[in-house]
Amino acid sequence: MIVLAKVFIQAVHKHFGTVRALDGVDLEIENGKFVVLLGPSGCGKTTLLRCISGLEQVTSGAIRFNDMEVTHLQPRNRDIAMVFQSYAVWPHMKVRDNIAYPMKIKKFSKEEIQKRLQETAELLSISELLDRYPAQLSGGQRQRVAVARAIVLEPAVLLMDEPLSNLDALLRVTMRSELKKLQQKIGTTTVYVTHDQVEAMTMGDKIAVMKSGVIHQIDTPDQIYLRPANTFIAGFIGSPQMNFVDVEISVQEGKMKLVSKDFTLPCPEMMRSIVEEGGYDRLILGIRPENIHHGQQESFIPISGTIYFSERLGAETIIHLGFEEGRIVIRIPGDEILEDGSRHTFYINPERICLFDPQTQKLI
Amino acid sequence: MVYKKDPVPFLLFSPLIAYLILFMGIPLIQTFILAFTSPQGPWGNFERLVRSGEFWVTLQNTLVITGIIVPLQLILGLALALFVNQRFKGYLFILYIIAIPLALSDVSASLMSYTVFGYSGLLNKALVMTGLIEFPMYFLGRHVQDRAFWVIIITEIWRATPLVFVILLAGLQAVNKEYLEAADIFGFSKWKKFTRIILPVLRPSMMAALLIRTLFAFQIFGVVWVLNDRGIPVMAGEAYYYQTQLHNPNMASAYGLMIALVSVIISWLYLVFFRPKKYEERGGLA
Amino acid sequence: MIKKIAILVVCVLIFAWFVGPVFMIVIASLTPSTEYYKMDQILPRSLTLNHLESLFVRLKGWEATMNSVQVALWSILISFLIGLPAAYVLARYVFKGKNLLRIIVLMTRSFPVLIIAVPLITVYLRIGLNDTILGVSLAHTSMILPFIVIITSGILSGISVEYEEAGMVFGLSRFGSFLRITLPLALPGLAASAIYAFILSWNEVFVAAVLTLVNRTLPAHILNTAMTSPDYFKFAAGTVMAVPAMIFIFFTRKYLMSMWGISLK
Repeated sequence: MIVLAKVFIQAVHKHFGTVRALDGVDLEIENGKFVVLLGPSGCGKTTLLRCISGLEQVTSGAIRFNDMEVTHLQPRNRDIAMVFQSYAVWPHMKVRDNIAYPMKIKKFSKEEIQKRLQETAELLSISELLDRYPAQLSGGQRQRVAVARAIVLEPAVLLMDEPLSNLDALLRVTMRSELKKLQQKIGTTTVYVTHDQVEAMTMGDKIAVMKSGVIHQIDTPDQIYLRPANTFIAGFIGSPQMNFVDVEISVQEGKMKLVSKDFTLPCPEMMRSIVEEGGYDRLILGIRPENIHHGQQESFIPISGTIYFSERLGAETIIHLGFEEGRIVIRIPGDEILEDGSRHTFYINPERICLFDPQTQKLI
Repeated sequence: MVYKKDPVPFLLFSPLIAYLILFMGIPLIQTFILAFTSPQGPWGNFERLVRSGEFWVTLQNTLVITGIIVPLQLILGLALALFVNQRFKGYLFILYIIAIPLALSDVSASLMSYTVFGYSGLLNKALVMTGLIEFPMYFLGRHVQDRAFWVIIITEIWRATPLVFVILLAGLQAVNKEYLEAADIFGFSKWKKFTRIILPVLRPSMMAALLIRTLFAFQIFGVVWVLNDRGIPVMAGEAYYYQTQLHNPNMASAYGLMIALVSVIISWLYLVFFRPKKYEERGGLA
Repeated sequence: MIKKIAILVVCVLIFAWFVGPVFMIVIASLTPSTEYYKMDQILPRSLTLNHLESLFVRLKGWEATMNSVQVALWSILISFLIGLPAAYVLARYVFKGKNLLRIIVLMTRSFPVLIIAVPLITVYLRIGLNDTILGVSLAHTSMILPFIVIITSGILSGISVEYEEAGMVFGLSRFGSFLRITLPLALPGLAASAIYAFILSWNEVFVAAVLTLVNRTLPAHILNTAMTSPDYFKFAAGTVMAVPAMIFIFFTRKYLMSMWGISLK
């Protein structure tokens, strides 16, 4: 069986009656890569995953694994494996039987089954649990069993549907890195669905951000973070959320300025040409809280306001900086203490400014 | 889950539809045909029914029995459900005791009744042994229709109250404990708690129990037939009699149709007056 | 304290009211006739199995019982064969008109099954199904089917569809997944509902009495001989009808309670 598969998703539509769950999705996943489908509830990410698995039939479009057209194949003929959100570990079978079952169905030899069983159990650290029933396991243990069962057949494509969302916070952090390490070790092409942007950022080789049945951006985590394709993505990723300010473009004495109702900033040089070419007179300015600093550096743009409120989180402090009408959020190291009500000046890193077209919401 | 145009669900479901058509739909149509066939033309059987005094007596009997049994069952069932719902120590045991008649057919129940109300039954023996009467009385038999009537009523109540009990007990689960606790804090009396909190929540279950029991009480057969033969004619009994002893399937069907008609009317009245919002399906209680 | 006594008193009354008649008939079936008719004695001094023996050997009780058993078993078999697939559809598929179907099935439950007896016997006479086990089973099936469909679809719904989907992903077909994963998980519930269906058929009297003449089921046999049978026959037959049903219910009581929606904390 093919171990590594390139997944091609072409012009896939999925309609449920009049509801367009997937409205034209194109996606290419390289061999052995870990791709995350990220988005809010109802964006279609789970539907897309189920279409890849074959549990749902596409309304139109095609799905290929390497050269094999799988669009209309039954799930069992697609050489895939899946970890379900509820793990779906069969309760009437022991752990060892759960993991061995896929192999039993494919009529593997007894020796082969035993060998793979042991190896996989070792890999997932569940060797002592093999003779227990799922009801006797904790959530985290059951999840490992689900993962073990999924990888035991060395599928061409591994699918995971929010496998960490039912775990408690601490376990989630540990399992994040474990799952990623596991995937790197066995190298299977993986499609991972989640609504948690932290999971997506830490685990994905590439992230496909989805909303309303469409993929809005496919990129590495870094790129998605630094150059989000639109305001939705910019606001969805990153916590605290990116600051968005409506600005008007005005040119005075040859200098371009970005004017909001509360303050005026000079337009960074590198952006000027793009703004002029596009002929924009209004824009949405986006800047992440951590890109506004307390200390000045060359080329940084000053901005002054009154401290409305500061949230001291220990490692960092979140400052809500107030102006006449609006507020922005700033993130500074935790050892600096600033008083509510006092006036301060902060400095914006111009290289990190994102400008969005107010009509299309897209990055310019 | 599956593409809408998939033929599989249709294939899986069609045997059921076919069976229902074959064994409910067609016989129902045939009942109509049989009932409307007679030497005197389509309405012949019904004319016979209406003109015969026995039909009216039968209808009256059945309605009276239903009218007496159903409210009593409702009240008793409610009382039992409220009692058991207090979950005192050992309530489970009492719960199963009350559920015993659910396993019994009306025939078995009638025979048990016979051991109590028969000439040499428990009641007579108790009365004689305690000296209240000198000779045993007849409670069953053609010559004591009044007493037999009440024996039938008591037997039916004994047999079918547990069904109401089970439905209502299940309905009581829906009563939110927190409402009752809040009511306690506000100083509600027991009666007020009952009428303002419990009864409204119980309404759908009571409606369901009411409907089921009314429909089936109207079809009462085994109890009457075993204990009293045709002494007290009831609708189902007459249908049976015409079919099996007079070998007149047409009259039998006419009676059958009357039963169906009344069932439809009752169901319709129920839907119109009580407008059940959520008919919670509770097991199969015949 | 008074409350506890009151509860106890009520419990005793309830116990006597419900258990009394059952106890009486069982005892009566084991009471020698000489002792039963004595007016000054309620409980027998000795027990006898003569009545049961007479019932089974001389009065065709054994045949009737066997007929009842066979009819019930066939009814369950047929209704599960037809009802389970329909229940699967209701539990797993989403489609237009599903609610309508569900309501139709629900409505058939309040269908007075006795009115199909007359036309059925008329048809049966023509095709030779009258007075047969199969004939009665088919009629009983239509009584049991709606119940089976509704209950089992509830059971199947309660089994997470993801178990089946996992089966489908890991190598089983849809049907295979149902057979090897869902069915074993549903078995306890299905068994309990089968037992209850058995009792429904076992107890049914009107249709069975109309459709049979010689090969009667037990309740039909009792009905037919009600007025003319000796007392001990009534008691023995009543006991034979009641006891197995009560035993079955006893063994499935916990499940039946949850089926009726009563939680037993």
